[in-house]
Amino acid sequence: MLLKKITLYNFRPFKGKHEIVFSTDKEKNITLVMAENGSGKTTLAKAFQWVLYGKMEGFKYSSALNKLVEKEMLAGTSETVKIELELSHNGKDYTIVRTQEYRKDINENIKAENSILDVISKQDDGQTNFSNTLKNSTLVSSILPELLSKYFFFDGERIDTMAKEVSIGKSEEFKTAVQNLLGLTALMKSIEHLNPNSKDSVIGRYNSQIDALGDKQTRDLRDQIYKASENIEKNNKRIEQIKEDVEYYKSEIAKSIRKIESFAEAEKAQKHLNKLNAELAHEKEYKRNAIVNLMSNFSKETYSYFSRKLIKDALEFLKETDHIDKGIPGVRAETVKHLLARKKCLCGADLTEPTCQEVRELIELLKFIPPQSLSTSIKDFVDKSNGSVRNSSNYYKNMTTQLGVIRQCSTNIDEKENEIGDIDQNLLKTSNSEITYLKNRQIDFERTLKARIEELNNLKADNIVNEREKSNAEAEINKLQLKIQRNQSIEIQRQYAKAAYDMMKMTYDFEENKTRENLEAEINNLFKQIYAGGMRIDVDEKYRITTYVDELGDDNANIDSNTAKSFSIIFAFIVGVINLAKKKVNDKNNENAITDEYPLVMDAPLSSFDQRRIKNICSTIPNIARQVIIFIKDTDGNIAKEEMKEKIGIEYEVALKDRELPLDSNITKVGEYYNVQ
Amino acid sequence: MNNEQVEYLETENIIDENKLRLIVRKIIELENENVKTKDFNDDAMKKKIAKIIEEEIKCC
Repeated sequence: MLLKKITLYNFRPFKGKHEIVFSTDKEKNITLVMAENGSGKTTLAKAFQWVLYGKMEGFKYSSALNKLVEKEMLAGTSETVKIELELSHNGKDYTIVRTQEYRKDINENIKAENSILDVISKQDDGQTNFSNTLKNSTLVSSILPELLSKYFFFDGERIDTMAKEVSIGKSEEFKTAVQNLLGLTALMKSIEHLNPNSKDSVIGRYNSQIDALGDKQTRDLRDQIYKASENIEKNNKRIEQIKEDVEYYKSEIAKSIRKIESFAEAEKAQKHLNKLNAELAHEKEYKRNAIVNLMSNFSKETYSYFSRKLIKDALEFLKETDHIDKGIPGVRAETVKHLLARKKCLCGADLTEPTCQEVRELIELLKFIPPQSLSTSIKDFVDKSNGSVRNSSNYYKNMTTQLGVIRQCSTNIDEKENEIGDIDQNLLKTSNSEITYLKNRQIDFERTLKARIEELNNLKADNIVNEREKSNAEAEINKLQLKIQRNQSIEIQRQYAKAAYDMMKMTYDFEENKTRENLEAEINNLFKQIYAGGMRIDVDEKYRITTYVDELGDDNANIDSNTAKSFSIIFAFIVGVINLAKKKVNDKNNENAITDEYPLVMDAPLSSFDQRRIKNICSTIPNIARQVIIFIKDTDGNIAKEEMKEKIGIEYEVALKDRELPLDSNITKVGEYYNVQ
Repeated sequence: MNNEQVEYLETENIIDENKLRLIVRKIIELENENVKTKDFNDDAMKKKIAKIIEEEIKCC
């Protein structure tokens, strides 16, 4: 498609008639339109969208009619807005005209009628042809699909919106549009028309012809084949759905199990806690007993222990004297007193005289016999002292041991109390009531998953059966059909049709992959030129773009971090598409390359770039499309003009007639630098 | 091997590769033209494709 001229009538700030002729020269292929702020640069860029698709987006007011014209209208009158766009497409000249009438009622309200689209084409014989009104929109879409148009009528001020569109990819439409551009639509249509699985395709019709000549058996077999094909297709769709479900349920079950396990850990912790508490109680009891023993030992043996030295010394002393064992066993003081009282000793000696030797000795004996027996007392003391010394010999060891036990118990108690404290804290975070919910959920999902897997297996088995039935029926049909001579010629045609289908299908798959890979390579190459920085772009099978920063290695963060990068993505993508289309046109060996080139129309394309990158872009722009039309602010335009001066074919200026009145702009041709055809 | 099987096998080898390529090329040219002009609907296109195949097989 090449744009030749646009003519505006009362369109927004352009009161009256204004026109821009576009450069169609191959060398000087740039049309530069420089505009001062507020004069209608963006309006001009959007004029294409209005004339082609009737769209007026991104403006404060949606009316297409010039405001001055609107003000000057009398009540009950109407005025017309019109744009004519002359272009050539696939070797044919078209004039696309959109007209919209505005009527002012008696209350001074302006009402817009529906806009009307006309497409006028020039025949080979020079005759003008007005296309059927109903077909006009379709015809325009075939020239340039609306969704794709955003990438050829390039609004630099809508970078973020466009970047999101590309990244989320209104993919099917865009893919179709790209296929149209790159010449794959014809191949797709061929495949569709030949499809052997369709009753109504070319091959399907051959089958019907053969069946019609054949008998009922053949027709029944054919029906079996179609039915089997339908079942297989239906099953395959359901299989895809089930596979997604299976993944979902497996993931949810795994999540539930992990959650339950965390609760199981809590249950285990609780049991451990109970055990610790029991052990703690035991330790405390043990410690208590140890303290009691210690105190008991202390109270019993401390005196003896610390008196050991004294006692030993006393025992040594007593050993050296003769006071021990002077008493008569069995003889008590009462016995002696009785003898003295009866005045006669056991041996018969007279004890009448108190001063006699016998009486004196008996009185002396009283000192050594119980209860006042000194030696017995001494003997008792010695015995007890020896006992005390003996008992206290283990005092220190016992005390030390018991203190050690108490100390160990204290340590154990501290440790257990700390551990118990930690476990208590963790247990506070869980709730046992959730476990039941999670377990029930897990069971439900496992049940559903099992059912899905069973269904999946059944469908796969069903497909095997269907394939076998289909294959058997086909073999049977072949045998039956060949019996009838008349079928043979149709059979031959059918064979060629099937072979053609197979070849095209293989070619299509190959071409699409190749086209996508080439597109990706084009984009990355251009991306480096415009915005060097270790970035690369991937284009997936749905023609969505993901950007990667190489220095992050495997960390595939989707980058749309700043305006310049987003713009670069869109720019590189568009340029890539156009470049690829151009290559295909120039590739005469490509039998599918019967397609047209497209222009690139850009509004404010350089506003987001610094000077260095503007130079890069300006060096690239002229080479990326057969025709480039740039609407640009005067500030950026001067740089662009300088950088691209060798490539500018026509130059215009847009300015307000009166700076105080932003409703009336003027378009002036500044220069024409090639021979207009 | 019986007669039916022989007949079946003979038909299997009928494709002439050059003829096939020519048929494919013509079909794609037809489709390309129709993409631009949208002159024919699907039904008409299928008939035209069948015609291409028939004529090419008959020819030479």
